[in-house]
Amino acid sequence: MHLEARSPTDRGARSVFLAAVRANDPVCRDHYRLILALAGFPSAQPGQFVQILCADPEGPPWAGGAFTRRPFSIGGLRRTGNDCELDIIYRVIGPGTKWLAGLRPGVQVSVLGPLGRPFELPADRPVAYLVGGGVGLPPMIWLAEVAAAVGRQVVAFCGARSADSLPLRPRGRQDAVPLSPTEPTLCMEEFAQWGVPAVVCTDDGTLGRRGRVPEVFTSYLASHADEAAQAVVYTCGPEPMLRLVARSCELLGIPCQVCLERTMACGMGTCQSCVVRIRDASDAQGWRYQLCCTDGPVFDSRAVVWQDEKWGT
Amino acid sequence: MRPTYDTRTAPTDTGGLTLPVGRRMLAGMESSINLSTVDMAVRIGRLTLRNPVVTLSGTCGYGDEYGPFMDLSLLGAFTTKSVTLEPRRGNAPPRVVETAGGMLNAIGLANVGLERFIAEKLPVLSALGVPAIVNVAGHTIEEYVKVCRTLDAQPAVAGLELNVSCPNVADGLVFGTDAGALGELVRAVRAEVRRAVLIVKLSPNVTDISRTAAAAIEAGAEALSMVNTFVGMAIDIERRRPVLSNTTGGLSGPAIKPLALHMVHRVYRQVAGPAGIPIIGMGGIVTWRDAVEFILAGATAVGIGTALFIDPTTPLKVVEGLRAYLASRNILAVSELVGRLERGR
Ligand SMILES: Cc1cc2nc3c(=O)[nH]c(=O)nc-3n(C[C@H](O)[C@H](O)[C@H](O)COP(=O)(O)OP(=O)(O)OC[C@H]3O[C@@H](n4cnc5c(N)ncnc54)[C@H](O)[C@@H]3O)c2cc1C
Ligand SMILES: Cc1cc2nc3c(=O)[nH]c(=O)nc-3n(C[C@H](O)[C@H](O)[C@H](O)COP(=O)(O)O)c2cc1C
Ligand code: FES
Repeated sequence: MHLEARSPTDRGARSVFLAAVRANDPVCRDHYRLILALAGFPSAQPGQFVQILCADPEGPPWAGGAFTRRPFSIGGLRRTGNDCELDIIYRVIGPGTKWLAGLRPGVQVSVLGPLGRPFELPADRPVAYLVGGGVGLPPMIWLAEVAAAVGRQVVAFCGARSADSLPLRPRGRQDAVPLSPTEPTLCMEEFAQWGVPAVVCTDDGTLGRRGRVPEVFTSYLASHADEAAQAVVYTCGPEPMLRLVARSCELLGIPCQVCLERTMACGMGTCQSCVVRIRDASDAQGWRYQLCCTDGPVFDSRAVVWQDEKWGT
Repeated sequence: MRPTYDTRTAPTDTGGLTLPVGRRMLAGMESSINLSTVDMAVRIGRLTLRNPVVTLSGTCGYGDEYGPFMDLSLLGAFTTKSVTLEPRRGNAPPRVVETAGGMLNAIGLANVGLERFIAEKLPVLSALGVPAIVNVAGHTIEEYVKVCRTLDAQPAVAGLELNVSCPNVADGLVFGTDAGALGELVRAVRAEVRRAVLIVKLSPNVTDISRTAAAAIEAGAEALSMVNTFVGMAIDIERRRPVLSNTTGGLSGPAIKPLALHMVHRVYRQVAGPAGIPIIGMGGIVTWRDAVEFILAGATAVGIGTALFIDPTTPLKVVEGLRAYLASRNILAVSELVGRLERGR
């Protein structure tokens, strides 16, 4: 499956849906997995996101959780005929996500989507490395499923501050996750279910290897040069992490697709709030703005000017 | 049962609302006219809109973004993001932040510029089958005149809306807050614009909005859009810094509705009503009930902005809710409702 880049005017089918909450269960400290059931959801791909109204869809928009919608990556999608289930994994950090955490099965939520440009799986690169940190993991879970289904050799690298902030379920006993620098194993349920091995690391060493995911990933690249030469790297998480991962890839000439986050109001390309600086040699200042919500959230890492990077004028 | 704030249910009750027209005409009675016989058309200067609901500058892109959600030809009119002579990048992010019942934005008039607008955006816009109002901003009178003259020559442009009220750029506000400067600008543009309807979008960031309204009308504005966003700010107390990179931004959404409504009422009473100049009322409209309030205050048409981010189909729900409201009160044309606010209690 080669995912075609769409023309800027082809925004794809999208709509507003009333979805029923199937489940909304804690996965680790402050993180929940929300399963939404809805009908007629258009075709979507990993990397795309939805805008969820974190307030009662029948109520006044100034009451309840949050006023504008909140963007969340699609963390999984299952279809049965016209019916569809979406997985959203979220971390509670403010009024919108706090409201989501209170949802009970059966109630309805307004979902707008699918939005954004998805990851691309170029046909000539048989290996896919997925590098996710914290709430950057959800799109990686779905990507693992899709990439494995189209025959890619997939390896996942998962990072979190601590064991209790990793929104993934260890397969088997928690202490079964390898603590030493060994090869990826089928250690995390979300990836293992697609036959995808993972390396886990936490900053404090409470699960998997102690250390940060970019370091662990970079050392993996160094020791797997032949495999890495055929890979595409997909990464999502905090921007400093993305920047380190992207740098390692660039040094080795491995293509890297980053999934970025920006504060969004519309998510549909109308409000111009979600800008990302993109390198542009033809521009007098060396860069121009693109929109995270429509030109992204997935970008070629080499094009991105990072938020704290000094670049151009 | 909790009240329904949606328009999926037709409003056939008068319970709890102070609706002078309805009370006088047909309190509590079943609708006796058919929904389809309600005349929803309104006139904005020489332009006739099929209904009074328009989408607002900066909240609906250039036209194709909301295409997947609704048939845009069902709108009264569509207003583009501000167009300037040269392209503008706009401000550094963060450009938006949510506040109680609304949001602050400091986009900084990011737009593709006149040349690319005409080459790339206008053809898409003209294919939508909806009157296109192009919002224009500039640094100087010369810039406004040049952009307006060029756009006036484009048959796809039905109206020109002068944005003299952008709070997020250093130059925008001076025309909007100084009645003398505003009059000069509108006169200069008026002399060059022959075909398109000339609309002036007023800034609420003034002591007396009737003065700028009067200056715009006197200089030849055919309609007034009111209002743009209110200057505001938000502070991140952890970092002890403004949230927006621009420090200040423009407040929009339900939080500003009472303020905007008052301004429409005031200008309608004092200036626009007597002069016969229509007002496009805007600021925090989310439901058809909000739209009815603005029309009763004196707006001929109503604009939907921030609410589009929450539901792009809001304008169509407002049209249907408004139509049902009128039918239920035996009001044959929406234009009959304009300014029909009764005094006293
Ligand atoms: C494309 C995209 C996909 C996302 N996917 C997920 C996901 O799968 N799971 C998940 O938990 N979160 C995800 N996020 C982030 C999520 O949108 C925010 O956490 C959410 O909007 C917070 O809403 P709130 O009302 O709870 O908190 P708010 O009060 O809105 O925010 C709390 C704090 O977080 C900051 N913040 C809010 N939104 C963002 C943002 N987008 N980027 C950076 N900082 C922000 C605010 O400035 C504030 O300091 C995604 C964001 C984007 C843009
Ligand atoms: C993100 C955003 C961008 C805007 N950009 C413009 C603009 O370019 N030109 C303009 O005249 N008004 C602009 N506005 C103001 C709106 O057109 C409108 O006047 C205001 O938001 C009040 O209406 P609302 O509360 O329904 O949004 C913008 C508003 C928002 C929220
Ligand atoms: S969020 Fe509105 S343009 Fe991207």
